[in-house]
Amino acid sequence: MAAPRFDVSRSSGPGPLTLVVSGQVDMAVSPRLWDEMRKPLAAKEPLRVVLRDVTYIDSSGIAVLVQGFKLAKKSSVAFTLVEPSRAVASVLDLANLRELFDIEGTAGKPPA
Amino acid sequence: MAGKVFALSVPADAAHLVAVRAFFEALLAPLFGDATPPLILALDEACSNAIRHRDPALRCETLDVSAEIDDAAVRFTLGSFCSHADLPKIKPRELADVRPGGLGTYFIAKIMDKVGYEPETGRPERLALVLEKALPRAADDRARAAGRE
Repeated sequence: MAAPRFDVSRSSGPGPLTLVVSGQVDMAVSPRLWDEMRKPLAAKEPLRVVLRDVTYIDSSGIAVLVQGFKLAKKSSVAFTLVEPSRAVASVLDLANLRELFDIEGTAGKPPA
Repeated sequence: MAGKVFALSVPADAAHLVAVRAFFEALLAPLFGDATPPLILALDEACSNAIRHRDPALRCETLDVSAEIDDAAVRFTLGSFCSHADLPKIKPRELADVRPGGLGTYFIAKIMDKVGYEPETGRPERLALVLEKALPRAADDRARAAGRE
């Protein structure tokens, strides 16, 4: 069975809520990602978003991450991108937005 | 420019963008190697903009994308991209302005060598978006030639 082209799930465990995103993030699915991110951030919950297995991201996906950053700032909670894949990192760099985010680890180099 | 032309038409719906990317990625990867992902991003952003902003008056229900490839460059054409009246509204945003919107147009401008609009044959009220990028080898040759001048 082929892997789904996009998935977002909540990782259970101690610590802040963690969303694990995989596959291709484009304008067809970015509203779904925003739905998953908006609820906890609006409830003032810190949020970690794992991007290790994201194989593609477009401007709508980057826009969702920027919206998340802004909502977290407004809610005064931490918002962390975890292990952005090469695909994500390259588009963040293209947009000159990497410095905007709190980033833990890079793909292939898990956070210490 | 007269090269091989490869074309794809899909319903103008975001659910089909994944198919557009897959089709052109397979086509371009042997030519562009590691430089393929940004090209696909630029093409995808153009298709997304057409889906999101295309004037309903154009009554266009498909995305019609072609890639013409010759020894020097690839030239994408996205049919019925907009009308003349839409042109002033199409502009990239300032990067310092941290907000959604306009980022796709910025990506297109940054990645591609040429971005233009051409009236469609037989339908001059419609403009096709044309994106061009030199093949890596051709770009290297041009850079070397410029260095010799």
